[in-house]
Amino acid sequence: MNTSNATNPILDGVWFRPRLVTPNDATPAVGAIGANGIPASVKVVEVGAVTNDANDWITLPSLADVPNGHEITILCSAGGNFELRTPAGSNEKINNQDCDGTKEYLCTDTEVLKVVKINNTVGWMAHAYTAIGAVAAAVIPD
Amino acid sequence: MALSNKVNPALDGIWIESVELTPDDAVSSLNQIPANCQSVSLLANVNGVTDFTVLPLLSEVPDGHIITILAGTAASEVRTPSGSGNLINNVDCSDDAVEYLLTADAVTKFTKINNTVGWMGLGWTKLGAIIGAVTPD
Repeated sequence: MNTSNATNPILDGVWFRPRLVTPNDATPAVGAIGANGIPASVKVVEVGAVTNDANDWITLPSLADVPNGHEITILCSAGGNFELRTPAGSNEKINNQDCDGTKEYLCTDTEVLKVVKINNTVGWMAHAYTAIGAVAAAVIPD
Repeated sequence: MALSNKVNPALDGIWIESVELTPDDAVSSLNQIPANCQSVSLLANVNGVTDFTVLPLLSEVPDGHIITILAGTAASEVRTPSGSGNLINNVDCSDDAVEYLLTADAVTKFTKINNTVGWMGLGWTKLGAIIGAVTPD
């Protein structure tokens, strides 16, 4: 649905169905999302148990596929830490670090992670809260 | 379109289009945030870092309304509508002299608490670090 400003819907609320994404060490084939990929339309992600270990990762959608300001909530529910990347070979950044294969954003188990697209150049800004609502320290992907 | 509680949609996702605005030193359609807008991308300032954008009137948006502003590559400022008495972080930003500072490249969220308390503004750097509470001045 694409509505003009004058006809935007007024809602009492909206529910987003969480998408289950499972960390692993696989790079999806070109054009595929894979079990560890977050589709461009998804707003809420629940994370399943890692396939191998804490170096497994999940992958954000391509910056070009989402609008500026697009925000994704990731519930770090894998039962252990895992990592967050941008699509392989994309040169896309999280917190100003290229995360397309050499660096990753560390996702700490039980935290609530918010990822916001700033623009195609600056990339994603990610910040997190602990399960008791405290602001988690900023993460520099490495 | 208005839907009752029982038919609110359950969605896999949603995209909110980002409205591009231009901070300026005078109010116009260039820098006025529409009431139904939730996401704003700022273009280059017209003049300098004291250029501003203007939040909608508190009375025109529901309590809990959140606007995300993606700052440009230079700092700029945010005001409430002139003469409205609307507050940001408990400071009247409608007197054409007091503003909330937007740091360059920051992601800032403004949440309407209610018509009396006004807006709460909170931001993060592009590196994911939370920006200390801003007192408009």
